Formats: sequence, structure tokens, C-alpha cells
Amino acid sequence: MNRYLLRRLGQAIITLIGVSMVVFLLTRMSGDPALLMAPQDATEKDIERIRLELGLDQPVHVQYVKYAWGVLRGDFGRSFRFDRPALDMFLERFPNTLKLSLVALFLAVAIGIPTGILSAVKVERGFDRFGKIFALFGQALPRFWLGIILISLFATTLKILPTSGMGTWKHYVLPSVTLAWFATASLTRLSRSSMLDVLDAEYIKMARIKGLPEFWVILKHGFRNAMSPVVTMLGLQFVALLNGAVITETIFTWPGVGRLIVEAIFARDFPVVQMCVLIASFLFVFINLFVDVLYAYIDPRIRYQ
Amino acid sequence: MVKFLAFFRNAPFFPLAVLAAFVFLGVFGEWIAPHDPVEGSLMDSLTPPFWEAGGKWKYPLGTDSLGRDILSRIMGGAGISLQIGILVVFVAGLMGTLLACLAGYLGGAVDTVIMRVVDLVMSIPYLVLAIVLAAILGASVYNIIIILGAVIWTYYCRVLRSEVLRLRESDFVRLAVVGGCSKGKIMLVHIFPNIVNTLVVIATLNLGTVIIAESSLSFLGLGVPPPSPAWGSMVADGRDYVGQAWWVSFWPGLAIFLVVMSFNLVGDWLRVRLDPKFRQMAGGS
Repeated sequence: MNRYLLRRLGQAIITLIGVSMVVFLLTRMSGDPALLMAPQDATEKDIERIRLELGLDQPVHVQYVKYAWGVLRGDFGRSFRFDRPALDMFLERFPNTLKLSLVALFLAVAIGIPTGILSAVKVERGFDRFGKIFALFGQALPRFWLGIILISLFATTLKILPTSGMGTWKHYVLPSVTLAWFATASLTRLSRSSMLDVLDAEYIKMARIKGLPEFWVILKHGFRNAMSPVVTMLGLQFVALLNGAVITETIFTWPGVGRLIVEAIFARDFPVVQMCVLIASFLFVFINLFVDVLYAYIDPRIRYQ
Repeated sequence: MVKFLAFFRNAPFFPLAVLAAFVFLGVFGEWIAPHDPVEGSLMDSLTPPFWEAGGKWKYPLGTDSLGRDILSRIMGGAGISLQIGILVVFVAGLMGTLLACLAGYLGGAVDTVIMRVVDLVMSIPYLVLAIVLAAILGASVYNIIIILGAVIWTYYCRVLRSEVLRLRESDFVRLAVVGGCSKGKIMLVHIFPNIVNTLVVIATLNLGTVIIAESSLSFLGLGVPPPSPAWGSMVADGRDYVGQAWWVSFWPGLAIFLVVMSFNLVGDWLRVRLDPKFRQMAGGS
């Protein structure tokens, strides 16, 4: 177990070092930061001074090591636009994204899993037709379009919900539905196919033969076994929600990290972009690692692969 | 010919018809569109569809804020979306297949390096990576194809590599090794033909994802530059007129939805048709 853990941890660290290099190089490719930071009327000499201050006269690998050392100590650089630590800006916005994502995750789980399970139980009959169409719609509806349609229906036509911003619980309804839509469809699909696999198993037949009521067969023997791939997906879905936050927050002007990234990109505020990408990848890698290790702990077969 | 037709038995009619219609529009849209998709007449700005009060038959689906005919723009946009979709899938599929064969068959250090790169790219949220790249490289059709290709090949590589690993242990490949076949030839002649089916299925399912990704970029203003009629930027155009002109955003979004849904349905059908063992593939925005 320890060797497996070490190997996976090593892989995660290598991935993160790679990500930090890629992010660092990408933002260097985008142009001279000194030119971006300098005021409009700066002379050649001023720009040269800024360049020296930022250490841009040094070789790229030295710059990277300095950058990486800073990141390890929690120094992600300063925003060009607001001249304050990028980390502060991120931390200000992150709780808002987290709240929205948690509501969306709750919606996706509460709707997606029961729909998928019921679809599998009633396979190729009434409810399954509905479940399949639901999953299909969820995967094909572009999120940005859904958001706009919801706004035009519920906010501007019926006037029962606000169009944008953050405040009361009403502000959560449209953004969280928009954000949850795709995840709900994926969960429906996955829990349906997983449940179908499980319902084929011998132990389900056994449970039926021994006369257990169908309700308990489904819940105790079917549902519990069908959930393991679904739980794996949940970790990934949660990160995918953070991904979807970019579009959702832009549409609903939600003050979260997704909108921060888009704003920073348009303002060419690269330290902020750099940090957001890095933290998003950190989250992804560590949630994945956590899920994998948890799995290896539960199921010894995985460790020896 | 009979064999070819037999392949399409049980084919889903509706999605194939939708795709055929959009491919037709994509190729001939320029000639049959009633108006210029790029030039509008400001006199007619925000004309509603013909059945609403103030609507005209001249503009069946209405016009946008610059007075451009939405129907013509959707026709023009079909070509852009499909072209980008197909080229991205081609680039990503080619790269993913090649690297999957190398990683899976050669194994060892090659495998480790390729799979670490796959992990690396996959660990950055793909839309975020794409918008960062788009901001750096600048928005153009050419760049979008490179950007999405550079992000999406990882899906192909991951799925196909496990296929290659399975094939490597099969008897016919071992026999080829014993027979003195070179590594390159084994990959090309013995392994590649056996992963083509999976490749076709992933590519079809992936087309929908790519079209959504491209339109998301265009929606954010980082995709196909204006005034080209990309569906994503058309939806964005309507954002400011949600209350007064629903049709500006509605129609292009519906077009995206129909095309993506059709690709998904055709992909599902192909999956069952070509490879019953093939299970799920994740993706989407």
C-alpha cells in the first residue's frame, strides 16, 4: 500500500511541476510583462528598470525556479491591473464559486442519481424513455445557451427570478441549474449503465430467489453496488463544475473565480490567470489522487496493477 | 453496395437527416442563403420572426441588432462549425492515435513520457486551457483548430492506448513478432486496423463536444472573430437583447443543440454497431 501511495504521489507531483512549467512558459510567450506593467507614457529607461526589478534579464530557467519557489511559499505574484497579490484576489472570489458549485453538485446528485437508477429499473419502459431523453438533452444543450434561455424565461418574461449577481437564495436558482445541467445528465447516464450492469449479477438473482421484496433488492443489493463508479465520477464532476463555472459565471455575472479568469484574460493580467490555472490543476490532481488512493484502500486488486 | 446499405440498417433516421441537412447547408449555404450573412441593413435591426407582430417574410427567423438575417447567418455558421469540428477531430485523432500506438506498443520510457504529458494536459480544465491559449495566440479559425486539437488529443490517446495494450498481448501480434515483422509494420498493419472502429466511435461522439467547445470559445469572444457568423458568437450577440429580442440567441443555440445531439445519437448507434464492448466516454463543457 505504501509503495502504491508513493508512486501515485510521485506521479501527481511530476504532473504539477509540468503544469507549472507549461503555465509559466505560456504566459512568457504572451509578451513582455514589463511592457504590460509599464504606464502608457513610460520611456525606454523606465521599462528597462521594471525589467530589472522583475528579474526578466535573467535566463528563463532561473526565472522559473524563482517563480516556483515563490509559489511554494504562497507568493503567486501581483496582479498587473490592481497591484495587489493575486492570491488575495483568488481567495476573495473562491468562496462564491465554491458555494455555487456545491449547490449545483447537490442538484446533480439529487436529480441525476435517482433518475438513472429508476431508468435502469424500468429499462426500455416508460420512465427509461424519459431518462434517456433527459440525459441526451443534458449532454447536447450548450451551457451558455441554456443560461440565456433561462434568463429570458424566468427573469425578463416572468420576472420571478433575478437576471444576475449574487444575493438572496433566488440568485442561486438560475446559475446553479445552468451549472448543474451537464453534470446531472452525466450522472444519470452513468448511474443508469452502472445499475444495469449490477442488476445482471448473480447476487441480485439470488436476492430475488430468496424472496426479498423487489424494493430492497434494488436498494440494498443493487444501489449500493452500483454506486462505486458513480462516486469516482463525483470527484471528477466536481472539478468539471469548476470548469463550467467559467461560462456560467460570465452569463450571470457571478463574482467567482470563473469570471475572474475571463476578466483577467481580457485585461492581460497574467499573474492572476497563471494562479487560477495552477490552483484549478492542483485541485484536479489532488481530488483524483484522493479518489484513487481511497479506491486502492478499499479494493486491493488495484494496488498491484 | 448491398453490404454498404446493410450497414445502415437500424440507423437512426432523424439524427442522420439533421446532419445531412447541416452538411448541405455548410457546403452550399453561401449560395442558397437569402441574404448576406455579414452585411445587414440597420433599418431592419431586431426584426422579429415572421409570425410575430412586426415580423417580415423577408427575414423568416428575424434579424440581429445590426439588421443581419439570422437564417442566413445560421446557414453560414454551419460551414464554420462543421469545418472546425471535423478538422479538430482529425488533428486530435491523428495525434492521439499515433501517440497511443507508440505508448501502448513500445511501452517503457516512451509510454511513461507520453502518458505523463496526457496527465498534464488533462489536469488543466480544458476550457480554461483553451481560453488561455486563445488569448495568447489570438482569435482565428486556424488557431482554434490548433488549440482544441492540442487539448483534445489526450482523450483519444488515453482510450486507444488501452486498446493497443490489449492487442499487443494477442496471438496474431505475437505471431507477427515471431515472423520477424518490424515494430513500425506491426503498429501500422496489425494494430492500427484493429483500433479503427473504436477511433471512429470516439471521433463521432467527440465531434459534438468539439462543436460545443468551439462555440463556447466564440461565445466568450475568444473563438471565431467577428463578423464571421459563428453560432457561439451569435448567441453572445443576443445576450444584451434577452428581454426584447429572444430570437437573436435562440436560433443559433438551437442549431448547436440539434447538431450536437445528432452527433451523439449517431455516435451511440455506431458504438453499438461497431463495438458492443465499448462503454462510456466522458467529455463536454
